[in-house]
Amino acid sequence: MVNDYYEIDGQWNDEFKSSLMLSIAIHVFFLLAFVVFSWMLESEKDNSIEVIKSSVRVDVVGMPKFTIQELRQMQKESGQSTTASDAKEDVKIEKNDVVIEKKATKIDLSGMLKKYSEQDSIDTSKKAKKKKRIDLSKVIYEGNQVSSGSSLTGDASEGDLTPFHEYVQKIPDFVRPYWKLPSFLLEQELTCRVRIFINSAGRVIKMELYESSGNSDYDNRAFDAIKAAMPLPAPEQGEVANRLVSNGVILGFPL
Amino acid sequence: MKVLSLTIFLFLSTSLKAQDAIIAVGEAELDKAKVEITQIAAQEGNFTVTNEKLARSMAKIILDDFAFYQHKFDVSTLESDLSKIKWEDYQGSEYLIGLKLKKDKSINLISISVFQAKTKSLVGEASVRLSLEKERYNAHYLADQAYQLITGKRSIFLSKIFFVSDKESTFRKKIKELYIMDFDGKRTETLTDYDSIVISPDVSPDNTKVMFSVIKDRKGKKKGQNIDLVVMDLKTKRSRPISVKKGINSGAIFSADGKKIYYTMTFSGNANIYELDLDGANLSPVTYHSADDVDPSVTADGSKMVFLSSRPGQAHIYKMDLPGPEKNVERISYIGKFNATPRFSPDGKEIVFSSWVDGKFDLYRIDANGAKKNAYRLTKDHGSNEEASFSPDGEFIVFTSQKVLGPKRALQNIYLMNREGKILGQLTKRFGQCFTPRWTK
Repeated sequence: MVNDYYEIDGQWNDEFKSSLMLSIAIHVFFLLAFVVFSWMLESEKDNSIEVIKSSVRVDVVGMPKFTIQELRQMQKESGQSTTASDAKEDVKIEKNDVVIEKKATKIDLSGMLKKYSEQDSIDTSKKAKKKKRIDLSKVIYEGNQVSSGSSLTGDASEGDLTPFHEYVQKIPDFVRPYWKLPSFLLEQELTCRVRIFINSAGRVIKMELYESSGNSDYDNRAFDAIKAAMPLPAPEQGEVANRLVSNGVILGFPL
Repeated sequence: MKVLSLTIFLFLSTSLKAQDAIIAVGEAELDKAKVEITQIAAQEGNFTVTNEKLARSMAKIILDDFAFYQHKFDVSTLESDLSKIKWEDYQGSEYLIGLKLKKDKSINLISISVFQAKTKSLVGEASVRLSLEKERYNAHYLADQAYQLITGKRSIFLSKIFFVSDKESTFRKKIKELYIMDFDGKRTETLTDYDSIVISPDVSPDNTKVMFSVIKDRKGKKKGQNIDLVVMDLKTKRSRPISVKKGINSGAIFSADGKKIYYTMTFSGNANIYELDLDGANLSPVTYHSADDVDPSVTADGSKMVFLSSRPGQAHIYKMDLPGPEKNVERISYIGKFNATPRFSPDGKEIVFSSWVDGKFDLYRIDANGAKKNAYRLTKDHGSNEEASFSPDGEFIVFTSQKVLGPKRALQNIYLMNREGKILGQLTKRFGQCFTPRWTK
């Protein structure tokens, strides 16, 4: 099909030429009008003054409305209302919480595993354990940082957790209610680790001190917290149960 | 302490074991330690009724002292003395404090013995002479010894609080003098007799000197009133002027080593903070901003200073590094129509200050360091609260609270609360209007 504005031999027709000229004239007129108007506006301003808008970074966006005592009371009241869901029988963990943990773990774990897989020699000395502890603390600390704020938007999925992972991550929820210390121990910021072996019924059949805090009272209170938390939920039969009874899991108090 | 909500787990692959799974339980919750105090064991016939009565009174003071640490201890009194204790009844307790009256070469002594209840093992003992004149001091001493045996730390029981009161004011003349009292508001002593206005005391790190400002009338060429800075030796009670420049010489605090002072002067036209050796030499500015800078407070290691400044137009809290001047100045507070009297906690990690909110001052505690600073409200619906000062162990805060009684009448007294904002008591009663409580270090 041939365009109406063109002749077959490519010559402009008169109607198209006049329309184009008119369009250009209108555009030039508006452009000139805009330039003149802008120049008039600018000339009204005092060009010797530059307005600099100041801004401050605000760390505290408002004074806290509630006192610590009031917040504590609220926490207490909300704690009472959720006691039923915290009961031992209820082993469900909020989905959002799981996502936070998985995200934190996922990010740090790959590098961690890579690092340890590079170790060729077996080193069972105390020094090696100490080194491992420092690295572990770092990983957990970084995990906490990652988990704050945007972690809920992460792409971790249920598939990232094996049944064993899913089981052991529930254990702290059962032990923590009984993990209490008097101020004179709490303020010393000690750490100990206890390996527990769990049978298919969820009962802790053996506990051994994996790393002592150096304070037997502290270590014993960690043992007491585990004892008080028994029985734990029964693990899934098969690989999970076998691993828990043969290899166990190490609980860090607090890390 | 709050329980760590995150349950983070990870798996370490080591060549020692196939896979060791480690899971963090999190921070432990604070559990109040149960402490029981026995009755006083005394050999019959060896002590007079007066002695036994005095010992019982001292036992009551020890019990009251421990009650200040109610966020840490659950303290109660047993009905029997140490000789009649059935240990198996106290397995739920952490510690037992046994009280005993004994004689040492005809000198009457009262002693405490601290036992770990579960193991029945003796942790330690302490004793003092039984003396009516030193009843309260000796009881506080024993309580402090027991506290140290349990926690390994100093308590507040032997600490004191300086404060200013207008109780000597007459109808014609306003007078404010300096006083000192025990941490529990008892045994108040008068320290000054200027018949004038004393303001803003601070005690040296070794607790041997107190520094304050006093309004003095000047005669001759410099006739008029001036706010001079004075230091007093607490042993001799003698005082000497340190800074008497024209205008205000006030808000002084000792440096961490006690050899220097930081204070506000206005001789240059506006209020700035200066540093001066305690002997009066080497005056140098710490701040030199055109805005007013007042109320300095320094950390125990002397590396940081917090102060109040009108730099943003309103009174806000700023922090800077020492030695100055104007080194790494950082604004701490952004909210509140007027913020006042910032004070560092003994570990330098927190700042307590008052802020004008809803028509009165209330106290807040804020983190001193880090990009994100947690802020906590400590007081509410308790009058107008100001001039907070941390206890030497950082567990308590002393402050003034003003209650309005009528259009022209208000009462201002000194109160004590723990660092969580639980008010534990009113320390001054019927002592006029009280100001600027400052805890010994």
